[in-house]
Amino acid sequence: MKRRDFIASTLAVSAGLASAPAQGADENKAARDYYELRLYQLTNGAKVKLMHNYLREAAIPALNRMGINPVGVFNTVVGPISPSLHVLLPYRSLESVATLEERLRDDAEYVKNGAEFLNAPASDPAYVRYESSLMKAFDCHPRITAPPKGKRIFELRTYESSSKNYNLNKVEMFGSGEVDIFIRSGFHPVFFGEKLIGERMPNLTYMLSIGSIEERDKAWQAFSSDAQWKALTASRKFSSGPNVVNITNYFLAPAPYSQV
Amino acid sequence: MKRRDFLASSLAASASAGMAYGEPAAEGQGRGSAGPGQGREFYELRNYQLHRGPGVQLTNDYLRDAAIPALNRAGIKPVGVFEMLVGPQSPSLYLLIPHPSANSLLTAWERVREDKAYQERGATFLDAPASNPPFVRVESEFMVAFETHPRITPPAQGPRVFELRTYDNATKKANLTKIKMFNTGEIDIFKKVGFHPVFFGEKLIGPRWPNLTYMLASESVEDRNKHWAAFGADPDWKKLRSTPGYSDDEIVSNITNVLLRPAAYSQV
Repeated sequence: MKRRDFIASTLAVSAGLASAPAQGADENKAARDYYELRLYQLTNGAKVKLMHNYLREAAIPALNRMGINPVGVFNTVVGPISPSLHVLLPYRSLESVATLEERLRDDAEYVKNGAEFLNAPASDPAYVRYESSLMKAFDCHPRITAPPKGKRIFELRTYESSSKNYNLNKVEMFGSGEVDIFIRSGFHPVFFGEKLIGERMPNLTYMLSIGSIEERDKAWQAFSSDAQWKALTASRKFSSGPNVVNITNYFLAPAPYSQV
Repeated sequence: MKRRDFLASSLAASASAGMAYGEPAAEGQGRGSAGPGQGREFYELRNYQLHRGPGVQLTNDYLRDAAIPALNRAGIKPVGVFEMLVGPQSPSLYLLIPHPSANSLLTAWERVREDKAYQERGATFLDAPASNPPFVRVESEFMVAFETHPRITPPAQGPRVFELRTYDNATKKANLTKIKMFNTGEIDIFKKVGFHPVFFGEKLIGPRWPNLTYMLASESVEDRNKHWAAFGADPDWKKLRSTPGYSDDEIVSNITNVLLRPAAYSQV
């Protein structure tokens, strides 16, 4: 019931956006999330703990003080280069993305609590690298929706398209029922992002949550046999492609202190 | 002389930008600190990975006839387009887009897509079937200009080659130290030895963070080699690099460089 209310309200929000004049950047700012998704490459050893301590004690509290909330931290369960950490930051504007580092450095508590991580010597850094991408939330799901705490796994999915038009066609398909079908099939949708900056573009990335991998397999079965899904894939509008040419998916587990 | 004037005016611009800058408070996220903002450009750098065949021509036609004119109409200029001369995976094209603000990353492309002439002139590229795409993939990254070089400075049109250099750093602290080193002398030495600096960007979003990317122009590869030799022998450079904390071992962990030549229609 709660989820349905949420969908109804987000649909109302996106309908309002569509009728707003093109110069509605300020409204967009308030109505929509922008996501930075980082993949930290780690190496086994003591530095993994340092990374987690930094995120839990310094970074997340500082991000929350800026209004960046909820922050997701996930371990890779199925996917490349473990140990690695996926960190998801929901922003309310692109200016906020641009000024993040500067604002963190101005935050005395962050600098103090993160000192060991931030001052790690070049010869012994806390992590190897991270790669990041930047996304704009879909109209049909403009804000991140964290699942209830407790036992949960996450599936992170990236859909590549051969052109921007096919990418936008697929975004529209999500808003034309696909997200509703996820919910009906038992998934908890977390976020949906059209890629603005990143690798292997054009693409989109989204995240689903569910209690376990077994439940996840069942939910995908329900999804693929859903009558509305069959109608959607057969509709003229969404079958001219393929609008998706390649898919990457990972299973992720939340860190104990993850806010998503 | 012209370059000195430019430097002086850009320093003045960044000094005032620090004071004028204030992010509108968006649900507690903005708090008007001095930082990237007015006066400092943002760079979207795209790499179009191509395969030999008609897609190369189609992508060039699209950029020249549809994308760049539409970006210019949206107030974005100069737009640089570069071909790989020395580096991996030719053919590929780099597209360098200077944005006046971070939000322009969103609004500029929205305006481009709403531009009728863009849709008409770019139709073959934009509506290409999935079975026959003009390009393979696009990789992109997003940067904010250094304070001392807040705007892109294209070299004069004519014979020119470009070197695009990315410096990886072991930590963000090392990254900021290296940027400080550029800001306190290294860029001036580039100019002194004959390079034409084009842009300097602190990476915000992209692969292999933390890092920075910058671009130098020379008239030819031979000139480029001479400039680097002069740079290496420059007394100011020798002094700067021997400053405690400024050695490569401490602040640069890895360098990637490619040589590029401008497309005939490049505005940089």
